[in-house]
Amino acid sequence: MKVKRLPPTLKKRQRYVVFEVAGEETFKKEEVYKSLASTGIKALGEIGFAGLGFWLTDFDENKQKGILKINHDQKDQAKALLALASTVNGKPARFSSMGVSGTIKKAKKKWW
Amino acid sequence: MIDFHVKADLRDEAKRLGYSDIGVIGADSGLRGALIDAKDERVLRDRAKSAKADYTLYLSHDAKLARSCPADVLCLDFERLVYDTVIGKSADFVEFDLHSVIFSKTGVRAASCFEKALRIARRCKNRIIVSTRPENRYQLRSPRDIECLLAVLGMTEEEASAAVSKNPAELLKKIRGKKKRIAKGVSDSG
Repeated sequence: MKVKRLPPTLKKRQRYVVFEVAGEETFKKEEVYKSLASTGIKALGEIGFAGLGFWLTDFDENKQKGILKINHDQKDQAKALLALASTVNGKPARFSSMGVSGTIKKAKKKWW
Repeated sequence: MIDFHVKADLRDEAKRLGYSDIGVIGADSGLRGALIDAKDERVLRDRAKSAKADYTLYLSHDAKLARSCPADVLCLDFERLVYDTVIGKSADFVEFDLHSVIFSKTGVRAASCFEKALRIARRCKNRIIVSTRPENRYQLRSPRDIECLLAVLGMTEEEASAAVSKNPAELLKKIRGKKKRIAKGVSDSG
């Protein structure tokens, strides 16, 4: 029997936050993810962070820019999370959001 | 947004992040600020008068002095909060210093103090401005992110927006008005 896919009306809507990292050196995707996740758990708690639907979709190590996937109603929390993160791998870094979009394609076209 | 608590070497970086202007503590040009402090109320008043700056800030750490604070802006440090309704009623502009919320290891305590201060500021109708008191370029935060952080910390959307854009603009207007003021009996030759 063919399994029915979830109709789009029942799917959770997403937003993609484009951000950039500034630091004394370049950072890897795993390091950035660890930093953001630990800051998120510290600031929002495990349940709050789970509600964010957080995922680091893409990270360009040359440009030091990344795309965060989050639930559409949680973009303020995601931006606050970027403001609260102050270190990556123990070294000082600054995260700043560049914009929010509904699709990866548009996000990359505008801010990548 | 205007940050009134920045070092001179961060001016360019701040403008790149979206700040319209920067108030620099101890600067020689531009928007100049002075952080005043004293052990005595009279000395504090004298220092506020004689400060060679466009605006003065006082870091609230002594309740007695904070109640009669002659400075333009009362700064609140959330690691050791000295702020109550009596202080709130005597102050007009209150600066919420987010440095301890973002960078301190005791961020939880700072966040709870933020809530308490917000309640008092609402009750006393103080105009809130915000600063991250950056010490280097990595501690600067963009105004958009700050607005979201304020909303997460408990401010309403309108309050957060006012703290980031409207209230700093009003303070700037007040500062410029003070600068232009000509004493009675003195004519403007220019």
